[in-house]
Amino acid sequence: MRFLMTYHGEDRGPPSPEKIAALGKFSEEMAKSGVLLDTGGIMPLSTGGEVKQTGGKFTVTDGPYPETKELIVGYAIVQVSSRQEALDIARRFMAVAGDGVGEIRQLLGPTDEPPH
Amino acid sequence: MTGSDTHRAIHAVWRIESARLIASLARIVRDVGVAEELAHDALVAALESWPSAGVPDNPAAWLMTTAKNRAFNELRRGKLVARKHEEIGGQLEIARPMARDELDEALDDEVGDDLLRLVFVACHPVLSPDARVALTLRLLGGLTTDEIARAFLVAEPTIAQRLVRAKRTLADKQVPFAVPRREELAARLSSVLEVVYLIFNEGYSAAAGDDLVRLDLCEEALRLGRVLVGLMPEEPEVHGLAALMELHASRLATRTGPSGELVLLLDQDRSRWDPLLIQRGLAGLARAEALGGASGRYALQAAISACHARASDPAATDWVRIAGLYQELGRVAPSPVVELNRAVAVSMAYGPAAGLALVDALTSERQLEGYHLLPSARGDLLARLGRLDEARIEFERAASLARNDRERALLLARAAACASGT
Repeated sequence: MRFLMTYHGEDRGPPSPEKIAALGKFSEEMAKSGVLLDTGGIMPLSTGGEVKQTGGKFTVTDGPYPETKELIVGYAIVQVSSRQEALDIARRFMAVAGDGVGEIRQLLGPTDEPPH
Repeated sequence: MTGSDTHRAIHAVWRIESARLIASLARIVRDVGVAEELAHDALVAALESWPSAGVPDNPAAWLMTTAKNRAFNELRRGKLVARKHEEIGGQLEIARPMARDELDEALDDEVGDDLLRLVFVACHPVLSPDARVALTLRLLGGLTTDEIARAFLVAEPTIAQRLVRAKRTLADKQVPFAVPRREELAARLSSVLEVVYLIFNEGYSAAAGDDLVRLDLCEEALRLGRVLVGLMPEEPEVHGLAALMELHASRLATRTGPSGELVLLLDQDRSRWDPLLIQRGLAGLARAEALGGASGRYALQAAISACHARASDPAATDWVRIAGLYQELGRVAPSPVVELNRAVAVSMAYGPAAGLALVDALTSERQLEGYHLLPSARGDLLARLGRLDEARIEFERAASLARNDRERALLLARAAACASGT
C-alpha cells in the first residue's frame, strides 16, 4: 500500500543544523529500508496558489494567504504493507521533526479497489 | 490501544526492523540461525509486554536492547561463543569471549554493513536457489513461514524444513558472516540479484484471484531492490535490477483484464501505468548507465522496458533501439528466448520478413521445443506477410502447446481467421 504523508511543524524559527542533519539521516534510513518512494519540502502557498472551478469557471486566488510560520512543511510517499506501518513511520518522523500535525492518506494503488 | 492494535504495531515494527536486528546479532553470534532465534525471542517478549506496558517510544531500540540482553545472558552462561571480528591487514578472526561493553559497542555500530553481510549469507551459493529465496524472504523480508509457503503455493512444513536445512547448511559449511572478497564479489552479487528477481517474477506471474500474498512478492522484491541500492550504491547492476523491477511494476495494474486474462504490452492502457514507478525506474537506469553499467544484463532489460515506458502510445515505440538492445542482451546473456524477442523487435523495426529470417533460425532450438510463443510468433509474421496457410498451421501448433484455455482460444481464433483469409 502506498501512503501520502504530509507534515506541518509547529516550530517557529529556522530549524537548527542538528535538526536538519537528523531529518536528513531519517530520510536516508527510510530510503535504505526501502519504504520511501519520494519525499520533499513544501514551499509556502504564496509561491504557488489556490485554484478552484465553480460553475465551469476556473479561478486563481493570488492571495494574500494567511501568514503561516511553519518552517518545516513536507511530504513523503511511502510504500508499506499496512496502515500500521505508515503510522509507525509517522511516529518516528515526528520524534525527529518535533511537534506538529500531519495527514496520512492512502493512495489508490494498482491492486486497490476505489471506495464505493 | 487495544491488544490487537498493539499486535499490529508490533508486526509493523517487525517488518521494518527485523532484518537489521538479525543482522546486528548475527555479527556477534556468527550464526544467522541463532541470531534469528534471539531476534524472535525479543519479538515474543514484545508481544508479552507491550499490550500491558504500552508500545515504547522507540520500539526498535527496545527490541535491540532486549535481544542484546538475551544474547549477553546466553554468552555469560556459556551457551554461545561470541567472536570479535577484526580485520588486521587481511582478514583475521580472533575468537575470544566478549566483554559486555564491547558487545554494546558492537551492537550499536552502524548496521548497514551487517545488513549487507546478511544479504550475501542468505543468498550464498552453498544453498539451493529455493533455499536462498526462502531464507531471504524470512531474514530480510521478515515474512513468516506461513506467508512464504502461501506465496510459493507450497505446504508450510516444506518451507519450514527448507529454512531449517538452509540454516544448518550455513552453520555446517561455516559460511563466514562477511561480505565477499573482491575476487568473488561479482559472482556472489549476481546470486543476490538473481534471488531478488526470482521473488519478483514469482509475484509477477501470480494470476488475478491468487492469494494476495503472491502479488505482495512483487512489493517485497521491490523493497529488497531498494534496500540493495541503499547498501551498494556504486554497483550498476543493483541499480539496473531495481530499475527493471520498478518499470515492470509500473504496469502491474494493466497487465491483466477485468476477468483475469493476460493483456499484452501493446494492448495495455498506458494512461494507467504508474508514473511514479516509471520515473523511479528511469532514474535508476540512468544511474546504472552513469556508473558504466549500460551493458549489464539487468540494465539492458531495464533499458528495453524503458523504451516501452517512454512511448506514449505503441506506435511511438523505438523498435530499432529495442532490437539493438536485445542484440546486446543476447551477447551478454545468450538465450533462445532473448533471440525470439529480438526477432519480434526486428520485425517491428524492419518488417516481418527480417523477423521471420531470425525466427526460422530458432526452429531447431532444443530449448524452445514445446514453447508455444515460438510458433505463435512465427504464425504472426507469416500472417503479416500474407502467407496465411502456413500461418494457420503455426497458430494451430501454438494452440496445442498453450498453457491455458484462454491462450488456446486466442490462438485458435487467429488460426480460424487465417483459414477464412481475413
